[in-house]
Amino acid sequence: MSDSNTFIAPPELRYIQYHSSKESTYLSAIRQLISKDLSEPYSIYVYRYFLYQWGDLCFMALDEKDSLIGVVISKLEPHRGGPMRGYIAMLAVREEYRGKGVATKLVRMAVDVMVERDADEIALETEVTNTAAMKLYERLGFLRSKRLHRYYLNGNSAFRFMLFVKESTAQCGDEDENPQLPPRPPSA
Amino acid sequence: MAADQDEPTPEQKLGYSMTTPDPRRSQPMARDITADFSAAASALNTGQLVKDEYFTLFEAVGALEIMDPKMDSGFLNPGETLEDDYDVLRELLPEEVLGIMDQMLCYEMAWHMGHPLSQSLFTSLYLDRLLWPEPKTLEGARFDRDNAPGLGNEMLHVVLRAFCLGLIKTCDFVHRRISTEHYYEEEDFVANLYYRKLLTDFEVANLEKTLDDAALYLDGEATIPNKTLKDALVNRLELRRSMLSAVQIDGIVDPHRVTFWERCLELLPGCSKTSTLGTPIVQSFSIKIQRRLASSVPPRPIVNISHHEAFVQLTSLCQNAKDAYRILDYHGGNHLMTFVSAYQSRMPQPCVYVRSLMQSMVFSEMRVLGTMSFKQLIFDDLEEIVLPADVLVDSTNWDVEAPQDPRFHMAKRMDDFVTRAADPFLDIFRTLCMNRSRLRRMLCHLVLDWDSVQVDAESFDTELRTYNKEEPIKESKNPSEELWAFPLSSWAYYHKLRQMEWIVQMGFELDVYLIDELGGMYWYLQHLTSTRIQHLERIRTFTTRRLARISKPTPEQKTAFRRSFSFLDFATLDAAATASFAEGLSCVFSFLSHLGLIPAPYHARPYSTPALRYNLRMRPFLSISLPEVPSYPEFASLVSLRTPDKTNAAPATQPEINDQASQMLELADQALKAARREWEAVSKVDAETARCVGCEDWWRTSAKNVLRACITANIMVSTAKKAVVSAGSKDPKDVLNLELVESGKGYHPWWVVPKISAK
Ligand SMILES: CC(C)(COP(=O)(O)OP(=O)(O)OC[C@H]1O[C@@H](n2cnc3c(N)ncnc32)[C@H](O)[C@@H]1OP(=O)(O)O)[C@@H](O)C(=O)NCCC(=O)NCCS
Repeated sequence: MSDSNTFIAPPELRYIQYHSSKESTYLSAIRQLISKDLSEPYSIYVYRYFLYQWGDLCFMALDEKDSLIGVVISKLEPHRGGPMRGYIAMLAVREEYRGKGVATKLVRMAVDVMVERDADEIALETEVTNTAAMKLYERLGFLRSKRLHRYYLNGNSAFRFMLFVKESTAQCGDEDENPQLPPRPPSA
Repeated sequence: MAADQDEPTPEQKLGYSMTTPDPRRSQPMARDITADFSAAASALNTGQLVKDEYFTLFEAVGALEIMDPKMDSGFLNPGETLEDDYDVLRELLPEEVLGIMDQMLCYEMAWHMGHPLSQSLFTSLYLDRLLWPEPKTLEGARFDRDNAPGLGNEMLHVVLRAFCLGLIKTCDFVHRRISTEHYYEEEDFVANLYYRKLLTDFEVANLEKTLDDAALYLDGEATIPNKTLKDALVNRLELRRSMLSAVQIDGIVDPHRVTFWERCLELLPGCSKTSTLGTPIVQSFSIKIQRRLASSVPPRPIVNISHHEAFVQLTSLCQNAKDAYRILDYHGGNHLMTFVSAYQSRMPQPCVYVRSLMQSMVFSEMRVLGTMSFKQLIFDDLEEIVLPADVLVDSTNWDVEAPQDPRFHMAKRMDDFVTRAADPFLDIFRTLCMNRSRLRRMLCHLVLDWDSVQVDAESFDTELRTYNKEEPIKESKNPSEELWAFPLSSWAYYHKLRQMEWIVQMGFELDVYLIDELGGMYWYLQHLTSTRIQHLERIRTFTTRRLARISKPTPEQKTAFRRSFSFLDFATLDAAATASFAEGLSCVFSFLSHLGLIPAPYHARPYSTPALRYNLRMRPFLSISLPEVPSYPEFASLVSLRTPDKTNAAPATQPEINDQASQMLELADQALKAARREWEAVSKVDAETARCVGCEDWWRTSAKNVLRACITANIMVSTAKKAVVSAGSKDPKDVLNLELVESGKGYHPWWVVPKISAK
């Protein structure tokens, strides 16, 4: 079993927090990177929805030439008037850089900020066949909380992953019924 | 996505304003606002989002970027035409008609599998021509529409048209059946008809006649020299006709419907074999139609499935629909529940139409299985589980009109209870008809309902005691303590416990638990089934005493008690078999983690804590009053986890570790041997006792598979035992191989048996 603490990310990469001042530099690269694995692209509004409201929960991995290698986009808000819920909406790493812990590092940075900002729990969905993503989240402490039948447009099912961060969360009753992001086809 | 559904298509808007001008609305005045807009927009920073609080993520995702060909379905590439140039009226050869029929069959099945009409059947230019604009009469639903019908081209105007109309009307019935029952939009089925009507207003008899006429025409047609080809066409028309009759809304619960499904099953192999004779016409299906169906969603590809896949799908649809009618042969509430659960747990699970059909059969138009009232069903279930021949369910109570008579009150209160419990009880059956992922999720809600049914039932029980003169059991040791039967709440508790077990078992089936969680979840399953056994014992105590107090039981009373005891016996056996197997597997996984072959349960992770992860896993049960979820420390010590304190202790020596490992294997061995005996006993029980009359074949297959899994587990443990002995004082890990069986690849989805072998 590998311990994610011992993970060493490629040293030449820089990890930075997004800011709206960086929109013109990075937004189109972000869109490109994310869209690569989707059969149907998200509209610009989806990106702005997240980046404008929770830019500080978006992290980017850049190489020495400042090209985008990886990105995580997330949000944090009270869930149905209840617990403070973080949600990891999008995550992608450029193919040549995969398997080196880049995504793990990005997710950890986002999760750390969520924890700092008082998150009770963190949720996300991933396709049941996405071994790399599932492994990544499971190693960090996420559990599969439910299976979502034919969740994506391509007819594939998903797992909802959950992470409880705080004691209080456990007592909150019911999880939501509806996924946060309407289904989109992931990996081609 | 779903946002588009309430919006009329441009055509509709247009049609509306042309035919029904709204006098209140004056002609709009157009003004160019480009300059104003640019001025306003320049006040914003790039990336700044202007939104009100009602603009949610859902709207953001539903938004489209105009002129992006991947999102804008109206976008035309340079040189691309808006309409297709395929001529729907062209002469068709018989083999082309056959090819088109089979293509349509593929798309029909794609729709049944959950794809939208806009990506399947509605891409057919032939169907489009028949359905749009909406035909006012059945005669009007023709390919040449308003033009006077020309002569000739019967292959098109008679044969293909009849086939298409039969197909559309079948879709109409299927659509209506599914829409009246519980299903999940997009997950199970896409109900969107894109403002088309599926010949809803036309009588099925007229469509049947159209199909018959077409068959007759083919019969008398000498111009098709190839007899096989001709028969293939006739068979397809008959297949359409049989399916149409089978899915008709009226009389859906009529057992004779089976004959139509049987006929379909007879015709299908021939149709499948002859599909190679057809010439598919790919150009007669076009993605361009989507623009007119749904302008506000991105263009989506046509879903193509192979002929083979379509025939497999259709065959299983027909077979499952036919089998569904076996449910009508009622033998009691528990048989009914076994039926629905066994029927739905076959893999692959029956498709959404058939699952809706089963819901309708269980309950529609206020009848259970078309004949019984819901009260009858609940009373029957109460009698079998807790109240055999009891005064509370005595039908003569309902004839009493004198309010001073306790029987009058019992009848009234029992009616109230039926009202209280009816929906939750029906929901068990409904829930069992959902797709497997939803089944687990809905059970998590349902179990909370049952928790409160149980609480309410206690008040009913307490009140009813004053009418039926129940005497409590007093223990001789402790005479001040009175034990009451609580029949209604016992019944509710029984059903609740079953649901809790299902939730855990569905977790195994759906691959929800991580490897380190399996030991704990099997422990919890064992805990729940042991609780059920104790509960069954409690029920038995009261039933036994009640029988003992009847001085001279009538034959009817004897039968009722016998039936109830037989139920209690079987339920106890079933629970014991489950408990033993679960206990055995729990020990096996503990053993594996003890040796470090799998991670320790809820071991340390960078985020969250073991206790929090345990709480997350137990969340569906945390707010249930009884049985209480053990706290994490309790759980950890019970499941012999490596809790943090244990790992902090001085590391055990290898002989100590091996000694403990042997002990764990010994426990596993004992439990699994018992499980094997019990599952052998279960699989030998007759259908009447096992409450599986009507579904004996499926039930037996499942029981045999559990037994196979159990035997495998026994073999794994003896292999492990030998290896640990042979390891002596060395690390057994070095002599053992562990292979985890992929989810769905084992003998039974509820029993995860790891493969252990010697190196
Ligand atoms: C998922 C994704 C972001 C992971 O990025 P990454 O930088 O490679 O991830 P990491 O290196 O941090 O960790 C991935 C883990 O999965 C493992 N992994 C990668 N591919 C795998 C595969 N096909 N099978 C099994 N494990 C795999 C890696 O080895 C690593 O685990 P390890 O450290 O135990 O070896 C990347 O694969 C990706 O961009 N995929 C396409 C988009 C996507 O699926 N996003 C997730 C949506 S929720």
